[in-house]
Amino acid sequence: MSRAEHVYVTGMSAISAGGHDIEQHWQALMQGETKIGPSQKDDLSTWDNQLAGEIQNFDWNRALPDRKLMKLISKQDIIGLHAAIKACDASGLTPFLAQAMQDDVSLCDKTAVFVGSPGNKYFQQYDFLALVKESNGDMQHFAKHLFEQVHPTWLLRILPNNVLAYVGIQLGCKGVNHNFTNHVVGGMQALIEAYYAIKTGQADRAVVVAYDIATEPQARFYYEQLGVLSANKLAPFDKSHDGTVLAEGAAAIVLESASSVRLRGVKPIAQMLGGKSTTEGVGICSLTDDGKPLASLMQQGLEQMGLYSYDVDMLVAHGNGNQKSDDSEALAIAEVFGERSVPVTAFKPLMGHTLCASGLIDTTLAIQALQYKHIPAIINCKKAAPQAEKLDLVFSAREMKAQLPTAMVINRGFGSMNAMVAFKACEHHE
Amino acid sequence: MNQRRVAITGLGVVCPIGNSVESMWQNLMAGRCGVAEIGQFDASQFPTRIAAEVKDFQASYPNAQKWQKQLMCFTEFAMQAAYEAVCDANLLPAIENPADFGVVVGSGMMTAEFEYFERFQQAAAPEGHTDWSKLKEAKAEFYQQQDFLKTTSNSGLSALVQAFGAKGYATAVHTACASSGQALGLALQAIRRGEAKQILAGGFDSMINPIGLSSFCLLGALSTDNDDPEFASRPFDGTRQGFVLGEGAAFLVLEEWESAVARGAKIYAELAGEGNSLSAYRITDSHPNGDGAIQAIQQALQSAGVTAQDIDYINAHGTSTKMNDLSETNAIKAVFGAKAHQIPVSSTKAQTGHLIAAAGALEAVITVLSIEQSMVPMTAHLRHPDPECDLDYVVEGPREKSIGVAMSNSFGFGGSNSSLVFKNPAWRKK
Repeated sequence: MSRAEHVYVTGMSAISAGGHDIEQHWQALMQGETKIGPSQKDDLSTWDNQLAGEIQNFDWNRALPDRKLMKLISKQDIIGLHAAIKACDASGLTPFLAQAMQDDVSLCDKTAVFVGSPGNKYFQQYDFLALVKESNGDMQHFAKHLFEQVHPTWLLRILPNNVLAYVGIQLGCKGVNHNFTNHVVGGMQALIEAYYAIKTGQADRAVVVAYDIATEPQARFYYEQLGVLSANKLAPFDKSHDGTVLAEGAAAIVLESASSVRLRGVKPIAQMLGGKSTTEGVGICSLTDDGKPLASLMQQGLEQMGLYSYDVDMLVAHGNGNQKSDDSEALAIAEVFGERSVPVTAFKPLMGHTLCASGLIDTTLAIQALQYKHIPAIINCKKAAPQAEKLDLVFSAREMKAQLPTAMVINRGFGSMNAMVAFKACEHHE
Repeated sequence: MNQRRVAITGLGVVCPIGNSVESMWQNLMAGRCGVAEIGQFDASQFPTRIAAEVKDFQASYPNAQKWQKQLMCFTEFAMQAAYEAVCDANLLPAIENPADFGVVVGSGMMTAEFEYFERFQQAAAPEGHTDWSKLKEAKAEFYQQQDFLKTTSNSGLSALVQAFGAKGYATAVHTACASSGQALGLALQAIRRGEAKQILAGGFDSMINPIGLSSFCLLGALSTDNDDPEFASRPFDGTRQGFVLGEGAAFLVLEEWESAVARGAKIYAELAGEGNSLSAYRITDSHPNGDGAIQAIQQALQSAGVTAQDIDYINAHGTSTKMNDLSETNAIKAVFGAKAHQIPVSSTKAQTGHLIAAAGALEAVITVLSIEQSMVPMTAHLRHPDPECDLDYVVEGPREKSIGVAMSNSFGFGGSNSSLVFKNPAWRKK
């Protein structure tokens, strides 16, 4: 049922603690920097662990062209929409759609929006805190003072599909759309489904965006109790790995069919080869220790794409620094690729774990690596953890020798979810 | 295009007019209405104090007592409805091929239950604003791991996956009132491309709590006919003045046609096509001329390989708001032309209330039963015709009619639209 057309990346963007654009992220990665540090945004001074990956020196007032809109949506929506607009600008899609709205709206009808949304956050309910305190369980008091205490458009500020809606409204995308609220892998699933929407002819092009402010204190309180946060550093596959660091960020990718690329006369950055996602089905916070389900997913993904393991020139691991996740991931990679047969890197030590945005941020940086034909080193990884000793961990940056290299990116999340995608560098479009 | 057909082999429902498929259908046909004064909390001073609540809910799904500790109330509705669906499909005691079995849900937007929010306020915001040092101090009394497991964005999906043994495709989506319609569409696409052979697909939601009710009261979107709750939801009526909140869950087992036939499963209907579009107009309003909805309906017909002439019944989104009902009526007229006035169109929200993220799935079940039972449900409470809403809304009561092909629409805040086409298994193109 798939049409033969290839699917290309024609624009992308990222914002996180690692930088305000992809080039800043790339430079920091290649220099081995980590932008993780004590939280500056929330007063966690009495907390033992204050590490976070926060976006620094960003002019939030200029985040969106429509400043009025910024008052109507939440901060996490703002960075999501910011990333989407930047990727569309980079691909030239913004003026194309503006023109299409005037001349041929059918082009807008074939422009999809796929979003990885963090869903609702605890912080969005805080507008009710004062009212709840005053009411002290008296719902009649609560109702009587509701309109004095809470803004009439509160619900519209917290809609989990705000970014999707405003990408449509602001840019003129009117096609097939989905808003994935599947924790970490939501962003990666948005990318995979956008790919299939194009392959099956549902869409000619798609704006894919994922975003998250994973640093909110109420959630990090729970992550800390679960024992998954590091108070030291995020060190994937290193023998000292002891947890992850929560972060905020967003990324966006514009995907297009070969016909759309030709129609618009744009130069593709990379070719998307496909992707796949499955659940291990073992619970919300659990995963399988031996990595077998992840290995099976990768193997099936490779087969679907018509690739052999030796076709992959770089593997961007999920590598969140959590011992259990890293170890099972290392076992899965070794099972599929064999011992030390694919260079394995991970990007999260740069900016932290942005949860729902992490799959897309890692993907944009993987595509950047394909363009530069360089594999960044795993920051903070000096000596492999026992389970990762069979991997070819990238301790220092290295070149990719293939003329048009291929990268695989892995993403994992709550719900024992795994996802993978693969991209190939391209010099020119069809 | 030769693509896999998708059979519907199981149905499950928990809703305001019945906690099983059979009871729901009997009450729907009998004209019973699920709207009444809110019983879950004291809503007496809210502008709206009525809703369509689930009544006399008793969980009978396996290990319900164990799961109850980890689930929000509306996720329990999901577990019960899903259990009924998989039993109906004869998939238990164990899924035969877990890797080919997926789960796709449209889940609600409420972060946490009100009781939890009150506990949080007392622990972390005793003065009515967050003080993170207080949360640390109150850790021992406040922290319960299940609170986090309940409130994580994909906790409902994860519970369903684990409870029913899925190891394949799994995801959660949220596009407000279009959520579960789009979830069914996504599941259809996943089976068509061979991602899964069976998918448990549906939705679950409840916003009947102080914050959820407040959010819609603040917007002025709800009916305030508190003194006449049974008639408060009156889609397409000239005096309609807002929707009525409902709650519940509905699930369908979607199955690759050949697989369903091979195991001798009962096939209720075929999910033959889906349309999915983005209005890109306003965050709350649909376009008065039906733009957005029109594209979804057209795509659904095309996807199902049918024409406007083939449609025998439309289960409308029909929320009972001024703009939605007008917009949907105009969309139907635009697509179906002269035929529009010959198609029975009904909104069952008059009796069930609006289940928000679960609405599309409930109405999909109703549409499937309409085909199976050769009965068109009525639009209850339509007593004052609106000159601008002038279709055949089936006001006289349920109507006997042989249905070959039927459509169900769902349109959400944010502009996401879903239209699904169902075929009678016996239907053949003339």
